[in-house]
Amino acid sequence: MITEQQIHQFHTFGFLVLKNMLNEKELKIVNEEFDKGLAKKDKGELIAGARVQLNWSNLEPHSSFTASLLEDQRFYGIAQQLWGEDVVGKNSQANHYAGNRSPWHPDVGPNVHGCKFVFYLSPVDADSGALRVIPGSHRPEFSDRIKKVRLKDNDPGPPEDPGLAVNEVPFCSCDSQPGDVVLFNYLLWHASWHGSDDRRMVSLQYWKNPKTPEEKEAMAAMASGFVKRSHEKLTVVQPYPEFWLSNPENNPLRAQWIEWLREWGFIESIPV
Amino acid sequence: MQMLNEQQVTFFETFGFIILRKVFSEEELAKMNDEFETSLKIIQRERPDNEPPKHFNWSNLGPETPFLSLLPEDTRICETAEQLFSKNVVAVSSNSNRRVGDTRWHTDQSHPHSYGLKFAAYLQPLNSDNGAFRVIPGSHKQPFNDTLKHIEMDNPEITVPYYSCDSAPGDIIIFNFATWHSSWGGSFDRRMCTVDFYKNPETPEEVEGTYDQVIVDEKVYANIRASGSGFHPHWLANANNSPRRQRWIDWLRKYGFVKSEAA
Repeated sequence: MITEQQIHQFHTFGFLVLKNMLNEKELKIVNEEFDKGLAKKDKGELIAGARVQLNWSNLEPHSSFTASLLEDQRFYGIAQQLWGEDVVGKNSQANHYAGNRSPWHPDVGPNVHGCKFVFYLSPVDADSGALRVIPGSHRPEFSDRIKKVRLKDNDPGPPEDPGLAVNEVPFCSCDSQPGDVVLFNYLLWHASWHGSDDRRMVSLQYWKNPKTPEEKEAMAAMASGFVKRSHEKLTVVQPYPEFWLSNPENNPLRAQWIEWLREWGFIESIPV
Repeated sequence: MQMLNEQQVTFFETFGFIILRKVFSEEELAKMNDEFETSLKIIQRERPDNEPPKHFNWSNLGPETPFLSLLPEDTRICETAEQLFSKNVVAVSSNSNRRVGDTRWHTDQSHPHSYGLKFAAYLQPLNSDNGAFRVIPGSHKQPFNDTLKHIEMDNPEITVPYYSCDSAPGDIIIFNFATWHSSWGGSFDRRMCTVDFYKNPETPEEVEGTYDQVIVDEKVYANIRASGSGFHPHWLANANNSPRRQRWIDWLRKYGFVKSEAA
């Protein structure tokens, strides 16, 4: 759990670095499960571009521990503190990056609220691929202004003025050691620079249950885009693994989340 | 010719600061260092021998600092200020600062409707560990600016995220008065030359803010200024009849920054 001060800090700057959230034993399991996931991953599903990224869900039988972290009170409890008791676990994902940078971006558009816990499996700093953020950029008025800045990777200008490279944008580096966790608002602008070609990161993602008409509209749009993107990008027919959806241990919290995800259209059966 | 390109202006407006690299040549830096050193020696001569290192601020608008006194009118400076705010900006100081140790998080804005920008040139190489200028990007804009007033910035349990404006001699950091900034880990002899510009007030609130600024400036300089008035008679005499400087002087008199007896 985090303190009132940390909650205030999160809402002010859009992120927190939480030290030593996972112990050595847990990290060993996460690393083993990551290796298994990477071995199984279809390398044809590479997300190219600067990131050269492979990502996959941990909600599979071969990564049961990493999947369970989504329901772990250390993470879920903090998500509840930030977004309310009815916060929804969205996913536990693994990411492998071979590219040397991730361009600047927020994860979602306006009125979608939630957060992501990310942990890197090796030490990272500003010059070796740590998550870098623009503090406070989760605020819509600041985010809108950043959109006006020409960014070389996002919308390059002419050769004489191509725009700012990732490292030319002012940032705060979330340096971390294995076991540390960076928690950030989906709306926060983030990037990475000078990462190795074997950078490994796990994320746990939560959504705020939308309350206002604007939030509900944005979530509905997100759901339709989510399913569409899933169909385009992946070869599987469902974005959520059957194993996780079957909820073999009848976890009531997971059952509640699955119901929510179905209601919003994030889980959709598609004929093969 | 415009000093900044469109992207640089957008950068400044978005993040509340910008770093311009290698603005001053080696020759100019030598003059700046000489003038700084000379002034500092004079100030220190007048202080008790056993006084611990202290923050000093003094005006460079006197005849003993000829290069620094002309910085406000240097087109690289004043035309950049005009480009970032408006043609009507007013130069209100050319100062030197000998800083000691840390400077806590703060803004230079004294009134919600008083606007200005500062050009800061550090005379030593600085990075985040030895006193470089730190900023919270984008913090010059509301509501982010106000939100930060409610954070206990000096509480050791709070980690204030920042961008370190690492700089080398010759670089200039320009920042909006409203941008939150600080400096940590600096030596007891950190040297900085600054030029400040105020925006010409256009609304009743901004006029009120400008009058408020007069009072604040008097209080601030009474505490930190090592010697003399900010506006030396030599500068106010405007011997070269610079129209730009004359406009500034008239404005400074109008709002009360320059008192009649100072002329």
